[in-house]
Amino acid sequence: MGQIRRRVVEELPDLELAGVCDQFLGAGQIGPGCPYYQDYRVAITQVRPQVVFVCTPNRFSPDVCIHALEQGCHVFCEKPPGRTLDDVRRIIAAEQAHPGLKVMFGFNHRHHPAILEARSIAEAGRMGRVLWLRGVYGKSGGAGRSFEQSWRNDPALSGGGILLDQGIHMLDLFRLFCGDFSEVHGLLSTCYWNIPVEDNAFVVLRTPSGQSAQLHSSATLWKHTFQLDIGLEEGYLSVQGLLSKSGSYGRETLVVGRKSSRGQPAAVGNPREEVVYFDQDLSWELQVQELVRCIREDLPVTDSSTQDALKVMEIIDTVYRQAQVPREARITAAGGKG
Amino acid sequence: MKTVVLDRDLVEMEVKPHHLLAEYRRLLAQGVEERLCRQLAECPCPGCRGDRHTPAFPRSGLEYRQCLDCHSLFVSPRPSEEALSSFYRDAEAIHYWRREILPATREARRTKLFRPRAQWLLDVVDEYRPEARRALAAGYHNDLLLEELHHLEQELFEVVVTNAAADIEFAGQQLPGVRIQPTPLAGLTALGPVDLFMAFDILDRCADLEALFAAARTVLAPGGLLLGTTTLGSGFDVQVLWDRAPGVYPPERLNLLTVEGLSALFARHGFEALEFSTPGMFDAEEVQRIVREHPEANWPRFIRYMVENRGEETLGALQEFLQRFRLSSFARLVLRRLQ
Repeated sequence: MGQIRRRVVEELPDLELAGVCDQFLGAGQIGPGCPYYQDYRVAITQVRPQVVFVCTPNRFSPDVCIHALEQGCHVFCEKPPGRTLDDVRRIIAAEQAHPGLKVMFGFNHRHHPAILEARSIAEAGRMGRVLWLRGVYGKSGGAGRSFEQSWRNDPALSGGGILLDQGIHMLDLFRLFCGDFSEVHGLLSTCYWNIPVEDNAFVVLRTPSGQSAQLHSSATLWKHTFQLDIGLEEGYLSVQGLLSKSGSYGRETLVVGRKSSRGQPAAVGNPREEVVYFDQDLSWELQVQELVRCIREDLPVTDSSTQDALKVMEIIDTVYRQAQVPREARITAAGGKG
Repeated sequence: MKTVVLDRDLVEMEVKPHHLLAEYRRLLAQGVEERLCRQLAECPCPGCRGDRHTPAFPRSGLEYRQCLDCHSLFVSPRPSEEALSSFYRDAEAIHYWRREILPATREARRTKLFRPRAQWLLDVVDEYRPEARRALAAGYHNDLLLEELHHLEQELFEVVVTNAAADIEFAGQQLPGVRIQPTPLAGLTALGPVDLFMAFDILDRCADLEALFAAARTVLAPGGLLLGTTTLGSGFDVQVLWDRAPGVYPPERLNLLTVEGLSALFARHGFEALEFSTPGMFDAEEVQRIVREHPEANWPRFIRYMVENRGEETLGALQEFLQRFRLSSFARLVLRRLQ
């Protein structure tokens, strides 16, 4: 992720790369002319950057964010915003202690072209209100058993499994289309990989106004998959595939289907569809540009803000807490019959 | 940039009844020969401006040429804008279109062509120019489109319709916020600034595309949008059928640019493409029909085999493939005027 952020910083005319901090790379791998540090505290003290991009494993992100804020730096932090809900609360406390500074998190999926277009159509209101959402986001975990050795599956470093690592993007998108959820029901499983965190998560949510959402987040989808279906009163939208570096999620498309209308009785159940293919992912650039705009114009961060991070971590925290309760106890508490 | 593929229950006969169209094209050819074959002017390729070209085939007394650089197909020498404007107002073929074809196909056109186009247009505006207040409609056949726009959106942007026959198209019809003002290309700039430049059914029939794009650039506010449709010379039916392609006829198809030629044109005038799609639905159907009508012609072996041995499902899948890879002959564009 650090390499992607570095590319964006170097490409955007508003930004200048002041230095790179990485514990594992040597100065020789950073390239000429770029100050290199192994300790982020030293880097921030010596470089005095305006913005710090935090691209560290989850365990370290909150401490780096808080230190950067305390040193007077704006912060862009990768998702997830730490390992736990408490991590986000600590970052928020630091943010509130430095009200002039901006904090944004890397929920870049919001800025993928198909998501932008789907939002535009949904928010215009001509297809009615959003009724439900259904998201599938998953990967294969890679070849062999190397996935099991990844820091992402070490709870001490990551704090969770695939739901926290990847499913968090889809939950963030759910909030983008539906707002906040008042009901959260989750089910976690570790069904294939030999890891101490979940490799599959199923989450069902409902908003106070009755909009429902369903997520399957998986590390056992042997065909990499991203699909977000949005049901509306007058039609549906389906984002399929995701422009990515590897291309493994398929070409990014948006299917727009409109319920049959006057003069089209034959289309009931099989309506006219448009499939929009996108060629270019500017999500990384757009998000950082938005942060730069907030800094320049001293605007509050409203996109991928600490509140967004808090709300999505509340959902994940609820699912993780539910998973720790024995199944029988949950059934009893819910009044079910098992 | 994005590409759009459409899947819809539409067959060509619904909007283009062949028996009526045959008569329309006969009258059109007659009218062109009688009225538009005098005082012609040579022109370079309207796409890339290249002057290397080769004769393609004659139609109705005019000559189609193919550009040797971008491979666009275009009529040269060609009639002037003034001659064409006059033709579109009172040629017998145009009267026939209004009297016979439009009433017979009006509801199918409304439901299957113009309602989706209106929905698409509003989606585009919502996404790229939500603050749009004024639009200029330079092309033809805007009446059904504007009716559908008003049906979908009560508080629509103001629209000025400028084609040479706009007053005839909208005779007896009044839509709120729509002003009818037939205006030659040279006069368009005085109507700006506008947020949207609607160029439906004009890019392929315009005598001077260079002047049209220059006017669009001038009349559009910075960041404003040009939305248009056109017929492409790189489309499947045109490439396969060539001089037998029913959709290649003057004066409505003076410019059949390739994807490359059209890209060169809008880039030269300071536009970037937000959408460049070829959501055409009739290429495969058209090829099937003409190949069957002319079995004696020297068709490519594969095309003949497909038409003779495969059915509707194959044609449908082929059409989707053509849309997906910008190989259909009907193009849809959203261009943004760069600063």
